[in-house]
Amino acid sequence: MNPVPSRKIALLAFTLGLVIALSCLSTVSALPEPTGYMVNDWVYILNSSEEDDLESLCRWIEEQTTVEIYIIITDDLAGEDLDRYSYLVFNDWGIGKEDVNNGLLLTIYYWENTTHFSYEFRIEVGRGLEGAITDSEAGRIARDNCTPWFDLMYFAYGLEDGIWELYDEFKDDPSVVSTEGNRVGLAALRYWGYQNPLIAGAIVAIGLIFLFLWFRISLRFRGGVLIPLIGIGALLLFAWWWDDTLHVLGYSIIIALGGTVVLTGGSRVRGGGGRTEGGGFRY
Amino acid sequence: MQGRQVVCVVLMVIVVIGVGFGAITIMTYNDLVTSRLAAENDWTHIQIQFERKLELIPQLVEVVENYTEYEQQTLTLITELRTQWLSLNGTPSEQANISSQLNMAFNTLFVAIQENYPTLYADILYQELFDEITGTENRITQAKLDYNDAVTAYNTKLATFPGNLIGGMFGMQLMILYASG
Repeated sequence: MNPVPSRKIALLAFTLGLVIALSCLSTVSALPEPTGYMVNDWVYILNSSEEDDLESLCRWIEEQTTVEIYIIITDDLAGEDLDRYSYLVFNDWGIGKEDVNNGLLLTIYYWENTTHFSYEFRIEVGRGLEGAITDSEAGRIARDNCTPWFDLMYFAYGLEDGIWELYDEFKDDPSVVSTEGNRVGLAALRYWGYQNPLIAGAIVAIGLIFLFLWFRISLRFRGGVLIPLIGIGALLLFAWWWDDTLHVLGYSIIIALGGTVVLTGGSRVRGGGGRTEGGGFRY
Repeated sequence: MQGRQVVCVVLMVIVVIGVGFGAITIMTYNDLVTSRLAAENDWTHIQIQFERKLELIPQLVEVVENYTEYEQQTLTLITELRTQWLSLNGTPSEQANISSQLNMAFNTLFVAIQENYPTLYADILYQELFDEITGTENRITQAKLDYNDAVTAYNTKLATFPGNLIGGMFGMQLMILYASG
């Protein structure tokens, strides 16, 4: 046996192992991705109706004043302390409108065991809201409106009370209102797709089903097979571009598959391969 | 004919290598300068937040002075450090030194107030100032961390290939990290 190949294999295995280990390391302390909701309770201390109420409150405030209030309740700070975590998530998610930076992030770091619970709470204020909500006002609201409820484990009450109090601070301030015009053209289309991934997916799926039928027909007639194939590829890329969180793409593929099954039948029968000698009767 | 062909090929190879080297030089140089400027911008963020903190000091001194009898020393120290910081146009290490002294003085004062002056501690004005100062402290911390991230990104680019060659050609220096206070 030649020793060189085994050494090579060992080197290769070592490199692969290193790559895998590094990629694992980098995912350990990853910040959370945006979820598409303003209320994110990842430790389930809110029940579903409380979560819905807070979500609709935040969305209502966003409609009224364009101020975006996000809530994160987590037991995993991705290896940072609460201050750094809030700061990073705020900037990573881009909370608040771009022109006036009118975002708010309420982060609760929650910890419990069988007998005790504890929490840390932070109100992270966007740059454009600092005039309306100074650090001392945020401190007062946290101390007077939020944490007294939190101490009794009424997290939803504390959050709601705090959000109303924060809302009072900035509701009459015209400087926090985003004048970012309504999105036009392609940006509007993309945003609509992001908001309504199911409908957008259905639209793409109709195109996919049509092109797939075309592809099968063209296969039968031995002509122009490439056109529908390219069309399918282009449509999939379009769905990807439309919503880069891949919801539109996923829905469109699922709907297209389902639609094709419905149109062409989900259960088909094929002959078992029997033969005839020509027996029978002709009328 | 043969000789001419060889010359032609050699010339083309030289031109290709030259263009490639030029392109890599330009791209790497621009990349280095971009990340250097980003780091310098982060440095100004630290300065801005520090100024914010220093502006709060006279207010704090004013509020605290009326209540406290025994903390004059700390207050004087804080005021002195503030003056020192203002007259400083400094390097990261000098700043880190003074700011850590300032933080220690602040901590002494805050603990003393919490323990010995309950009326002051419960005072709304003091509470607000305390919140403002701790809030500013947080901004400074975040700005420092951002600065260190940016400096590390720049230094990494400068220390690795091809940044080490290009940076050496243009005499670029490693930037200093903000040491923790």
